[in-house]
Amino acid sequence: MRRAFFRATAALAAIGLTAKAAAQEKASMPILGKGRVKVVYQLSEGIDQAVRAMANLRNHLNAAPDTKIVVVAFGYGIDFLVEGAKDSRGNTFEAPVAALASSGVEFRVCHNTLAARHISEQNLLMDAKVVPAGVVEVARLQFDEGYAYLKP
Amino acid sequence: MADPMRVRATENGGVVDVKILMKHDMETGQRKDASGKTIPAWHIQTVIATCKGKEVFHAQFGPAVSKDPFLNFKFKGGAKGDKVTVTWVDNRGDKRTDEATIA
Repeated sequence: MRRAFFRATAALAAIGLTAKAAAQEKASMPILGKGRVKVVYQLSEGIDQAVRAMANLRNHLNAAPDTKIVVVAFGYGIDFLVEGAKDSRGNTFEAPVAALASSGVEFRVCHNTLAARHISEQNLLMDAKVVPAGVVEVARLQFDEGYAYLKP
Repeated sequence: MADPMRVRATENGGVVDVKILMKHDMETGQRKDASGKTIPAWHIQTVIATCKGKEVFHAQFGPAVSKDPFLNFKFKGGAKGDKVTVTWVDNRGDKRTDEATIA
């Protein structure tokens, strides 16, 4: 008699647990699955990567115009955001960066890199915004704000 | 409130170089949306820059100016550490003021 009672309560408790877990899953699902797609692009490898990224970003926005895109640049990846920077064909980055910024792309530059490479904030393109640390920004966007990660 | 502008001012040989990047859609009033309705004009009309309480730049913008306008001008008489204040007003009466310290 007593054993049966225990079995019954255990079974009830198990049902309660699964129901609770299912409810939690339901509550968290819409947050994960819906809403605006947000993507962080990591640029840390210099001009060639930046040229590829410009094309990727344009294609990304053509295919999915409501995507929120943040470009985080650090290390050699900030070179293209310095005034007067040119790609291998001699084109400057001002026009493509300004066009992307107008369509909502944000460019964030690592302050640690600026300090380490003795680059003044005044020499950056106007569209670039400085953040304290590039790696922290990439991690924070993914962990806290649910950004997808891309490295072109 | 409209988005902030980026203002940068640098002094070199007595001449202050001011660069301003405004964030504004600058609708001309000529474009039509997907359903064929005209999008009403909405653009910056006046841009004023002051330094130490004195007007150093005054411009009238029209619908021909691009989206997110970039403006670069130079003036004499500013020193490092002074503040340059830039204000724009659009045709709906919206305003935005930002400032930068001359470096």
